[in-house]
Amino acid sequence: MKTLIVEDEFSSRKILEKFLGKYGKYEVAVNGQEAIDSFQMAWEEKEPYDLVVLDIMMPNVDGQEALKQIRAYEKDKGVVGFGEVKVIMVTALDDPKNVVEAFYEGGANSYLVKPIDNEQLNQELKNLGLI
Amino acid sequence: MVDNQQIFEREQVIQRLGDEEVFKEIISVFLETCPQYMIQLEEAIQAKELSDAQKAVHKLKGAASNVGSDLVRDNALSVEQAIEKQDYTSIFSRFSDLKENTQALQDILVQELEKNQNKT
Repeated sequence: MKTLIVEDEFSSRKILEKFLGKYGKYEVAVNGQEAIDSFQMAWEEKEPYDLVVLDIMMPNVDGQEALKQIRAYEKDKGVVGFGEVKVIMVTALDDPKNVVEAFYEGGANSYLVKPIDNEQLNQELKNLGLI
Repeated sequence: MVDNQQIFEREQVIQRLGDEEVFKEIISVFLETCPQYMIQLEEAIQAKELSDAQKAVHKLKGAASNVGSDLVRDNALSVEQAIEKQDYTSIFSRFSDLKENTQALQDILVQELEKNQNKT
């Protein structure tokens, strides 16, 4: 499994690296623009990600916008349905409206509320057929 | 003054992180980054740069939640909400609570690491 971890806060990023590093290769982006760039680059190199774990609230380009651009890029390449990268959004407990937007408008597959729980993340990976 | 249990839920954090090694590492990361977030936040508040203050306190909120401190997370959330309302009176008073409890949390986490080092 190849994962892109997108998170601007250091300890949250570290936790995701620890949890996801067990399942294969991962790369890291610290804002939405880097996420979009990394996603496109991986595509161009014909080594796309299997999973993007995307924090919603980040400076500059946020997670919502990054998700929209990732889905738009896939659509442009003719990728639909099962071929789309799996995206887990990560959100703060006090921010439910963002989750709704990510699901209904952005095309996220799943979401997790911070603080990230090892078992919950594993369960989501199973639900998405990634492990 | 709050007691240690109120400020930091040790067993819950270890369970959530899966093992004690990750737990120690995350505490170390927190102790490195937390003072930076607090300095950024305090400077931004004093300069009335609320967008920068918001970014710093949001990071602190996430970091506090990662190390299992609901108290500091809630304090950070209060500051964040006061910033959104641009309510300076609340920003200053809530920041003062946040600062005090963040310092208490850091002291507890330093002890936690020392305790762990003595064990090994």
